[in-house]
Amino acid sequence: MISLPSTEQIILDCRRELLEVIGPEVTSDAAKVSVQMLENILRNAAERAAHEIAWMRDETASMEAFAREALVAMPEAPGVVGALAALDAGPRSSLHLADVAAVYSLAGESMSCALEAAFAGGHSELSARAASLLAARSEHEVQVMGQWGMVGRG
Amino acid sequence: MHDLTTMPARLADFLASVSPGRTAVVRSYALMTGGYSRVMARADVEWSDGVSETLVLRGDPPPEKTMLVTDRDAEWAVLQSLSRVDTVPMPAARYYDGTGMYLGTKAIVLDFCAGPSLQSVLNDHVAQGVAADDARLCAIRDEFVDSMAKVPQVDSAILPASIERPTDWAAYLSSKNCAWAEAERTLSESNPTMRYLAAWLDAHRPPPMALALQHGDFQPANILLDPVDGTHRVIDWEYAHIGDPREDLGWYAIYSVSSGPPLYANDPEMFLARYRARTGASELAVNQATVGYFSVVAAVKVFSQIVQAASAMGDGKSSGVMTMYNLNAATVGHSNFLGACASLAEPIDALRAAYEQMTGAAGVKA
Repeated sequence: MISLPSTEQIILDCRRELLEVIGPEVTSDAAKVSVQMLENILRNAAERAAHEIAWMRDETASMEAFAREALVAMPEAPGVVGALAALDAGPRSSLHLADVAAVYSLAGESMSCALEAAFAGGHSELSARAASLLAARSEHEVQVMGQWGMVGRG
Repeated sequence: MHDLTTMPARLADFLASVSPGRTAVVRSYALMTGGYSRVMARADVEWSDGVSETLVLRGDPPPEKTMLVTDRDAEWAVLQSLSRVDTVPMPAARYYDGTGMYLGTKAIVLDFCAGPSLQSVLNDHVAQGVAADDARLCAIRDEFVDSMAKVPQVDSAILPASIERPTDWAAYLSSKNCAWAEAERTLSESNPTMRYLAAWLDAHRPPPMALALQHGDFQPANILLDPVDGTHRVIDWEYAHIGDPREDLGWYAIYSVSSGPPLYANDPEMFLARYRARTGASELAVNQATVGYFSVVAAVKVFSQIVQAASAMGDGKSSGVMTMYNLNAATVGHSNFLGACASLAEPIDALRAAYEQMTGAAGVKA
């Protein structure tokens, strides 16, 4: 396959075309708002395309480790054993985007069950660890978002 | 409502049906921008009795384009009730096509307010470089607080029978907090942040307050200024409900982060002091920590619909620029909610302890 220009570069060039060629020809207020939104969406999609597989793989490892650690501290924690079993059965070796996303979701469910058990059991250290992992996840989302403010409101 | 060629005639037919004895000609019909949830249109109408006026239509977008689902029947009932009293001024709710037979979708027809929205006035101030502590912005903040404070003072007895009337604060808060986890379980991919929020909110409960009417989306884009005297007209009551009075405060506090200038964050203590003065709320109940807490509580209704719309799109069941664009709103939400939890645990727990000491309610899950 042709890997260059990258997906990120292709999307960013679509965004440039939208802004420089299509946007100036748009006259209706509603369509202008749509163009502004599309500009933002394309910028987000470019950033995601460049990093999302790596980020999801990294976060999957962290979430799984958290759930397994929680299970050691709380062997009876509801749902954690089942969620980890589902994760183990997922398509873990595949790097196809849909498979990576599916495994990422299964790891997220494992983490969710574990953190709920941590709160219910008063395990403050585990609760704090969960917050820290989620903050790291949020940082990736913010990098995708870049600068953002609501357009078209007012 | 999107079909500009057929809507003038359809609207004229509808107006004739709801106003016996006269007919109407729709001179112009145009879609309006400014709202994210409903389809809005403006129509200039000439009645057969010589009256000319401008009306606003507010209807549902097509189902496959709907990101935020709310009930027009419920909104119409609330509007009718609020129109009978003048506690919170708003444009008169005139007519309702409750079946969509005439207008193609359930649609509410309201009086047009010719003044600008408060958000557009704020945008102008930002464009002019007005400082956060400028007297003009402070005056806008004070009037905004005054309008917000009127909402919980609406006598709930005048509200429609259809509106849910929770009576127990603790049970109500539990249901709101559980909503984070319940919404997450409807998604096609896991969202551990939502599950974390549900657990965190339940573990750190603030002092209670008496439940009262809440607008549900109280922010400057939903306030129109009367063109004559500049007084406020509050619109978009689709999320109105009886709830904790700090929900509107919390919702505005977090909403204004991405749609400023943030009248709350510029000076939270001035904002809250005025709110307390207007409502009689105590400082133990209404303070920066509890507003932060309820910024998370109040956000679930819109946040969950944003991520549910994204989930439906992922499943191939919906589409739309708005859904894709608002993924960033979810990002802003995740970041702000986690930040709130990190900073609020200690002060909320201290407030709770003070409340229990004051009331002797220790051990009671209020």
